[in-house]
Amino acid sequence: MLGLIKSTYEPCEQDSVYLRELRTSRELCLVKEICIWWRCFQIENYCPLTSEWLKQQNLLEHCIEEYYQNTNVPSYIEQAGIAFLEYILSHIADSVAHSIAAFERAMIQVKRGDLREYIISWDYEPYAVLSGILYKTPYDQVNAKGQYKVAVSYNIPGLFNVVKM
Amino acid sequence: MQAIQQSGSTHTLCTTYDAYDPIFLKKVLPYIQYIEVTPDTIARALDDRITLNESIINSLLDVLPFVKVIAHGVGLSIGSYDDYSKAYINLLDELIETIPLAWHSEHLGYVRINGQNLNTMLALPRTKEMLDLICARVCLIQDRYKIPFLLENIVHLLPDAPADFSDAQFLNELTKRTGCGLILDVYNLECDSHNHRFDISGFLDELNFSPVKEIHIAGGTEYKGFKLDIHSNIVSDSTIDLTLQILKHPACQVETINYELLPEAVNVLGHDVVCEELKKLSKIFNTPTREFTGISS
Repeated sequence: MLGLIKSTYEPCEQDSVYLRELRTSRELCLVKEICIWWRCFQIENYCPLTSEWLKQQNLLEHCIEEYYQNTNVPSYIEQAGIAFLEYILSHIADSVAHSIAAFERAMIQVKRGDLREYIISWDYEPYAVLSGILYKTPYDQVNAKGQYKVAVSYNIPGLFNVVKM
Repeated sequence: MQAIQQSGSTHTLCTTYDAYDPIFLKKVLPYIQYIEVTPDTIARALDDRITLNESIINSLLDVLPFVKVIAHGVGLSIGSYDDYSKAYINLLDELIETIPLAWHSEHLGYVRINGQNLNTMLALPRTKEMLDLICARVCLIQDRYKIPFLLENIVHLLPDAPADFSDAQFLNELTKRTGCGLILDVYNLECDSHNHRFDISGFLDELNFSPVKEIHIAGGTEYKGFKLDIHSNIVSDSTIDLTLQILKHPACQVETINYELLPEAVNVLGHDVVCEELKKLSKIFNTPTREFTGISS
């Protein structure tokens, strides 16, 4: 059943007629959709920056579907959200996605009271990328190109600062 | 804040409080006698520790003189073959230590398989083996907490697996063997009727009504021809009519009618719409109302 819902298992001859019939049922399709829909809803609320960037690349649903299929998604959003960001960091090669997910994860941790300082590398000017996310407009990839470091820490006013390398 | 008037009735009204919103809580007080909290929903993960949200608990403690609190879980997964959730039990321990509960309840379903979260809830196969498993767990839970424990009929998202019992027979046998109570979710019955041509009349004719202590009503939505149990809306006339029909049953001893809403739905509908709905439901079901002084918004 778990494999059917997560689309990771195809019933075979040895399985019950019930499971074999369930595989092609519209009810199973609905259950799969509901699972993904709820994960999208939760993650869009908890990780708005990464979610919006993935959405702008038409990758959000696909990433959440993969995350759901390949992970034991925790019940609690504080854990599921961080696990999703870590999934993006380990499964998406794009450097912008990495920077945004790492930045968002660091901001969440610091806001929770984590006293460590996080340094995140960016290949584009961070404010341009973040404005593009917040205002849902594409950033100028040519002019925004450059090497930047973003420090995230409880001790920094506003919790982060940007340094051009 | 002081309650200064109350009018009498047979049943009472309840609603959901699952997000920190003390203004909402105070606004609904005139219409309700019970408030439902979902331990899983009011919990937060702090590193690896799951604990109840202190702000929500404090706002509940503030209104304890005026309402009884009931807990309605989603994460127990009482029907998982490997085990039920110890994390949920820990949360319930914490809640019961903090707030006196009138009773607690869960869904007759499962949300985990072999330790893996499904991230949805599925109905149980109604087999003899499953009945034995559930009854043993209900007894353990009743021994642990000396307050009533209720189980709720959930929506059947998937077609039924081969079964030894009908839905009502399974519930009757469960309550007979364990003495646990039932929540009858009227909207879930309607969803099953719409999605799977579930015979509500046949079910109600067969069900032993004595253990039914609580009724759930809600408003949802339709998607791709399916009626979804999503608790996002006001209650439809058909749900109200079916509830009235159930309340007329001679064996019905329902203590409270619970209008369930997701916290997100409270934000979308707005406090005033929810209060108007509770006011309307209170009139229809003839439940007590009160006037309060000193409620600030």
